Amino acid sequence: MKIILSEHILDLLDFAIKYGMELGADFIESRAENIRRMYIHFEKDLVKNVESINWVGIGITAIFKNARGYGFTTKLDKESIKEAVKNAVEIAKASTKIAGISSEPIEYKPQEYSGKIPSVRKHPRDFSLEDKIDLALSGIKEVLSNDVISLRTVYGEYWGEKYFMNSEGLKRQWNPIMVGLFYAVVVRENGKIGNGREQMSASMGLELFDEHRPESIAKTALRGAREALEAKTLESGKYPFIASPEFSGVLAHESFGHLTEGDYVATGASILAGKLNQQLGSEQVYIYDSGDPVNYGFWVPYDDEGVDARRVTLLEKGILVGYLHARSTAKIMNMAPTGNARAINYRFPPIVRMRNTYFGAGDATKEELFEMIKKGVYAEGHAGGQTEDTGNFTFAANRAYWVENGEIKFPLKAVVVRGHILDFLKNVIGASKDVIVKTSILGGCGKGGQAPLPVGLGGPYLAVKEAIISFGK
Amino acid sequence: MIGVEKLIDIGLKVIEKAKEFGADELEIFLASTDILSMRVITNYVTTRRGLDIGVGIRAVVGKRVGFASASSISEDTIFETAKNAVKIAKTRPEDPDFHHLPDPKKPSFKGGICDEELVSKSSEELINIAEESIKKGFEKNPSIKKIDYNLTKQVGSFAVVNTRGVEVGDSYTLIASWASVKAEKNSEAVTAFEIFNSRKYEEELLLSVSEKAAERALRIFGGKRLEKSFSGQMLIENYVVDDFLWPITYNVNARNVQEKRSGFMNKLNEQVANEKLTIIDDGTLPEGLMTFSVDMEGVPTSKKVLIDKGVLKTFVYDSYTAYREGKESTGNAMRRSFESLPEPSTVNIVIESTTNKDVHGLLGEIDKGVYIAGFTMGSHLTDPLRGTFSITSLNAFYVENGDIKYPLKSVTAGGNFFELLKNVISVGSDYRLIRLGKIPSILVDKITFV
Repeated sequence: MKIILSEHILDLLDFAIKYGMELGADFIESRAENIRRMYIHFEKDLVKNVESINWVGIGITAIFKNARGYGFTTKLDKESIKEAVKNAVEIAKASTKIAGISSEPIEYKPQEYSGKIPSVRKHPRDFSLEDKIDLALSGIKEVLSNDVISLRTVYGEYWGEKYFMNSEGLKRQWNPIMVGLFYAVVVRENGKIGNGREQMSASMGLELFDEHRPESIAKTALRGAREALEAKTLESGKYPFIASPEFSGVLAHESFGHLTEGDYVATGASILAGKLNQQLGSEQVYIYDSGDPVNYGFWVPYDDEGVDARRVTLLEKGILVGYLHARSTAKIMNMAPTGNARAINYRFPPIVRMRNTYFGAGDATKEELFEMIKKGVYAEGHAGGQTEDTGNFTFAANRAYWVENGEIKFPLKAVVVRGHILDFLKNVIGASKDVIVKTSILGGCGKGGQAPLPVGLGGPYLAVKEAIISFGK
Repeated sequence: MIGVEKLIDIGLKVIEKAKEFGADELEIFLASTDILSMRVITNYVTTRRGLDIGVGIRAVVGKRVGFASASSISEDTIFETAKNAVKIAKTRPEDPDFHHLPDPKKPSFKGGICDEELVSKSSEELINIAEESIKKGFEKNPSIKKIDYNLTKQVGSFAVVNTRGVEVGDSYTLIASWASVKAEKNSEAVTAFEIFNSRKYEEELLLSVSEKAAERALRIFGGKRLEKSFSGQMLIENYVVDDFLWPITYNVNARNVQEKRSGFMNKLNEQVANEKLTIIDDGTLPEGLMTFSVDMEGVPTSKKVLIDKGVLKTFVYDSYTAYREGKESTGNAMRRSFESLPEPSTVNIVIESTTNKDVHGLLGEIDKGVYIAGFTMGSHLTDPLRGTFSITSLNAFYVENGDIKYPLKSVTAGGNFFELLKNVISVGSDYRLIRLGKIPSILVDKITFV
C-alpha cells in the first residue's frame, strides 16, 4: 500500500510555520495526519456493510497574544496551506477581545515519550479484506445456533501517521494503531430473550487475536446472553460491590476524569476546581491518566501539541494531586503541561482530553479481593450510562453476578449502579494487583463536538463497601 | 472554495477508469465546504476555519454494492478509494433489491439561495458579530451569568458523477447561530435558548440571538412546578417544533417503510392526521436550509405533499428505494457527509397554516394548557416507530383561558406522535427556518403534563 504522506509533509509543515510567523503570529503549531479507519459490519454470517475512510489533512494553530485561531485543509498544496495559515492567524488576531480565557502556551522543555511502544507484528495494512472477514467469521461460526436470533459483529481498524511541528522547533512523528472485534448476541429460549455483548480492542496489530481468539470473544458474548435468560432480580438498594477492571475504568474516565480536565478546572466549571491536595477518596484509591496503553489501552505517545503523553497521577492515596492540561490551561493554573491536548482529527484544534484513565493497583489477589465482600454484587464490564458535572453518575453493567464468600453464585438482571463519584471513591476498600486497561474500536469519548476520540480505561478489581444498585425486572 | 464544475471534472477522471477498476457502475460524490465555526463556552473560545474536501465512492459489481470515502481529492487518493470501493463490493452478498444507479435527469430549477454577501463576510467580521451578540446578551440584565454561544458559516458545493451519465451539482451558503443562557437572581437559576438559521446574511437577526435568549430566560424567573398533572392543550413555539415532530422524517422515509420499521406502513391514502393538517416536503424552497437543485445522488429535487388534509400521500425516496418499488426517486437522497452513503430523507418540511395567528395569537385559543417556549430535553428518546414521547421543557408557561398564568420551571409533556398528528387544533403562520424545515407554531390537544 502506498503511503501518501512522506518527507514532503515535513517541508509543508515547516512552510506553514514560517508563513504563520511572517503574518505576525506569536506561536504556530502545524499538524498533519493520514489516518485510515475501516469497519466491517456483519449480520449473522453475512457482510452487511463495510465503512472505509481515509482522513488526510493539515491543521494549523496560531496564537496571537492571548487568543487562538485554527485553520485546516484537506488539500496539501502550498496555496491551500497558505490559506489555512491565513485563516488561523486572522482568527487569532480578531479574537483577542473575545477570548476571556487565555490560550497562550506555557513553556515546555521537550521530553521523549518514555512509555511502552506497541510492537505491531501483524499490521492490518498487510492483510486483505478477506483475511479480516475470515477472522471475524471464526467467532461468528462458533456461536451461531438455532436459538441465536440475532448476531451483530463488527471488525474495526484504525491506523496511520501523525506529524507535528511548532515554531519552537519541536518535531514529532508517530503511527497510531488500533484493531478490535465486537460481538452482540441475542438468544431466545422458551419465549425469553437474552442479550450479550463483548469486545476486545488494543493498540496492536492482528496478533491481538492470536492471544484473544475471536471464538472466545464471541463465546463470552453468548455466555452473557444465556445468563441473561436465567438472571435473577433483587430489591434495589445499597449493596457491597465489586467492580471489574472495565467497570472501574468507566468510572475513572466518565465520572472522575472529566472533572480533572484543565479547561473545566480553569473556568471554574468543575466541582474539583480548588480541591488540590484534598482527601477525596479512601487511601486505597489511585487514579492515573497516561498515554501508555498499559496493556490493551490506546497508545498516545504525544498529544496534539507535541507534549510527551506522560503518566499523570490524579489521585494518590485518595488525595487529589493533579489535573489534566493543555499548554494553555497549564499556563493559566501555573502547572506543568501533561500531554492531554488532543484533537479528533485535522478539522479540530486540540482541547483537553483524556488518554488512558485507570485506577491504580492494590495488593490483593483477585481471590482475596472477592473474599473481602461477604455478600454482594459483582459488575463485569459496562454497558453505557451517564454522568452529570455535579459528579452524579448512572452506569449499567454489561454482566453482573451475586457473590457470596468470594464465590460467584448466579447472574443478576440489568444491574445499574448509581451514586456520586466522591461517595464512591470514599467507599473503596480494596484493589487487586492486576490492572487491565482496554480501549474500544467502536466507542470513544465525546467533547466539544469531537467524538468519538479513542481512549482507554480500566483498573484493577475494586471492592466497594456499598453502592446504590438497581436491578431489571 | 472549489466550484461545481471543477468537482465534476475531478469525478469524470475517475469515471473513465471504472472498467479498469473492475466496476460495472461507479458513482463519485464530491463535496467541498469552507466552514467557519465559532464556539464560546464561558469565555473559552474555539474558532476554526477550513476547507473540507472529500469524496465518497459507490461501486457496483453485479448486484453487489461497495462504498469507500476519503478526505482528499488528490488523484492518487481518489483512485485508491475507488479501487477500495470495488474491493468492498466484491466481499458483500448480492442485494436482489439493488437495480442500478440513477439515470441523468435535468433539474427543473436553479437551487437555493447562494448569498454573495455571506460569502464575502470575513472571519474577523463574524467574530466581531459574535462579540457584539454576546455583549448584548449580557447587557440585557445583570442576572445573565453565562452565555454559551455558537456561530457557523458554511459555503459549500457538491457534485455527483456516475457511469450512467449523471454530471450535476449545486452550491449553497448557510449561516447558523445559537445561544444558551443561564441567569441567576436571588439564588434562583433559569436557563433559555435561541437559534438563528438562514441561507443568507441577516445582520440584525444574527446580532440579536444572545439577547433573545436572555429575554427568554428572564421571563422564567419565579417559575413554579405544576401543582398536579393534567391533560390539556400544548402550544409549541415554532423553533422547538422539531423536538416533537421529528418522527415525521423517520416515518415517511421509504427505507424505513420497506424495512417494516415505519408507523406509516400500509397507511398510504389513509387518514393519519387531523384534516386541518397538510405537510409538504419542499425541495425547491429557495430559502430552505436543505434546498439544492439536485439531491446527493444527482436526482432533481421536488416538492411533494406528504400529508394532504390529514391523508398520507407519499413517502420520500432515494433511487435505491424507488427502483425497488418500480418508481422514480423523489429526489430525497441525502448524505450526512462525503463519508456516508445516500439515504432517503425529507429536506424542507413545510406545515401549512390554518390561521394567520402567530404564537401569541394562538395562546388566546388555549382553555387550559401549556405553552412550550423552548429549552426542551429528552426529544431524542422518542421512539419514532411507536411514537411515544416524554419531553421536558425548562422554558414553559401555564396557560388558562388564553392568558399566561405563571412560568413553569420544568414541565414534562407526555404523549404520542401519531396521536398528536390527529389532535392538531391550529397551525400558525409565524414561520421559522429550523432543522426540520420552514415551521410555524402549532397548537395541539390531549397532552399530559407533569
